[in-house]
Amino acid sequence: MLRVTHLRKSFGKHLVLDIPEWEVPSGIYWIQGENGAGKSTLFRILAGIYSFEGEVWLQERYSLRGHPQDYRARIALAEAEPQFPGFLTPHDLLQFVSDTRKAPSGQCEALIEHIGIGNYLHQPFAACSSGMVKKVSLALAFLGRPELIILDEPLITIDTEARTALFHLIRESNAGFLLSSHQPFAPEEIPLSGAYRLQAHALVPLTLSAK
Amino acid sequence: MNILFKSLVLSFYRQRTGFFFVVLLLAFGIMSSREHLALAALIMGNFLALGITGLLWAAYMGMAGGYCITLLHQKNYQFVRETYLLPAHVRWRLWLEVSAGLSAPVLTYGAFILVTGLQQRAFVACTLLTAILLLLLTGTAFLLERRTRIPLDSFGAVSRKAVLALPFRRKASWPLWTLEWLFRERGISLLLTKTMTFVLLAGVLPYYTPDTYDLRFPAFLFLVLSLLHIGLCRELFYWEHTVWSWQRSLPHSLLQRYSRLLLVLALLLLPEIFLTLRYGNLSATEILQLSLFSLSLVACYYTTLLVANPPLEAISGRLFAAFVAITFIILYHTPLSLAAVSLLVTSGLLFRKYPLPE
Repeated sequence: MLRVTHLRKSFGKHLVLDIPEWEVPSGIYWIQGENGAGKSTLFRILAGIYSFEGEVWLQERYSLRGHPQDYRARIALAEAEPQFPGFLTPHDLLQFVSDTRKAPSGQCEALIEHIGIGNYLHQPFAACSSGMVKKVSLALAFLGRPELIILDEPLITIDTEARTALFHLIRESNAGFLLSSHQPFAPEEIPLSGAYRLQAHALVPLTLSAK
Repeated sequence: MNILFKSLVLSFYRQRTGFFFVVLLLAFGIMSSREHLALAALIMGNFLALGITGLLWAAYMGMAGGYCITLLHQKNYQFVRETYLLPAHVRWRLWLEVSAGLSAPVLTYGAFILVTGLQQRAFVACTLLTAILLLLLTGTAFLLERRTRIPLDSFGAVSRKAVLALPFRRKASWPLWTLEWLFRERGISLLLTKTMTFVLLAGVLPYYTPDTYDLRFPAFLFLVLSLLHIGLCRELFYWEHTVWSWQRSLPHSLLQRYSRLLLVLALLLLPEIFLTLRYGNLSATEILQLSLFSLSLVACYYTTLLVANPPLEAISGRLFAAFVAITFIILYHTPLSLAAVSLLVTSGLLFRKYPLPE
């Protein structure tokens, strides 16, 4: 599903990522790593936010460099600490991203209902709590028809109901997932396909029993 | 700048950006410089007109003071009450600074009228005008100082929704959101930039006559005008790069993103084009060329920021060199449309490199 070759990323002289080769088939993958290991940087690169050296391919057809629009249409990111302009409302943003990602009719409303955004849909982000913003960011990641959804620390700040709803969405989705979390996932919550650890700037495969 | 100035005065201008923007458009777009002079002469020559002006200014100061008093009722502004511990002369100096900051538009226009009055030798009117200005200045300072000494019955309710809500449903449009962000969050930069460009255009363009000068005169003016937009470009860069970096993960084509950027910059430059129509003795083709020229200059600077993110001090040398080079391009009769298209192509090529290295 996703193939990364010769990926390097530095901030100034500080090397963060150096991944010679990494390939993941379709499935749900847990990306582990200490704070500051580079998980969020990796996710932002894969989502097309940060520049990088190397190449990223999705489904062997869409290159992030060569097909930026097609690639981005098939990948979605929910950031660990999402930031949206404070004067916008969840409704504004959901509508904008639905249009941009050509979301199927009714999908946005179903996500609003499922994740529980309805009661603050028209409240500016500046007046929302971090948990409320996080739930919107999770809903945005499922909009459209993404083939790979990246959820960076999806469980922080959200309530138990939203957590259950999120696990349900993940299980029901046909997309592949890259998840990062410092909290372990129970097998009945999410059927993980594999896990990787980001250490020494590279991704190391882990056996699920050893995580 | 003292903390009261930052927390009260800047907040006032930030919240009233739209109001001041309309005032600027009325002052420079509707009224010509000759009409301003005529109005000042009328105010200085007629006590009724002077009285009405004083009342209007008092209403403005009432609005500004009222806004600050509302803030002083809020829980997060209770630190202001600590000023009561300061010696009286320090406290009064601080409040006079705040009052002067709030009344800056009144003081500026008052000074202009005063100069006109002195030229007319209307000394009684000048004395009255000075008294009105001093009264407004000290009166507002007194009210604010007194407000901080009176204990509150309760904290005022802060309704962020009421402050932020629009009276109509917001359209899902990135260019409009960008402009809304500028108005809401970067109102002071916007006001300062537009005040400078409006004063420049209103002050210089009336001197342009096609019989005496050619298009190089307004072209140079538009070069300076574009340079004055550097601050706003920085703000837009902050919006694109920091406030909402996540939007780069959305599937927009390069062409969509670039045309969206050009649209935002064109909308930002629209008031200047309107003023050029008002003041400049220029044909439609010439105005079109000048508009395209200023758009290409601002776009070129903005895309340089996007791909290189240089600090202002690092880019100032390059900016000066570019300014000199473009001045020569203008002076040597290069067709403006050709220069504009070349700059737009350069900007488009630069934009392809975005996202920039962190």
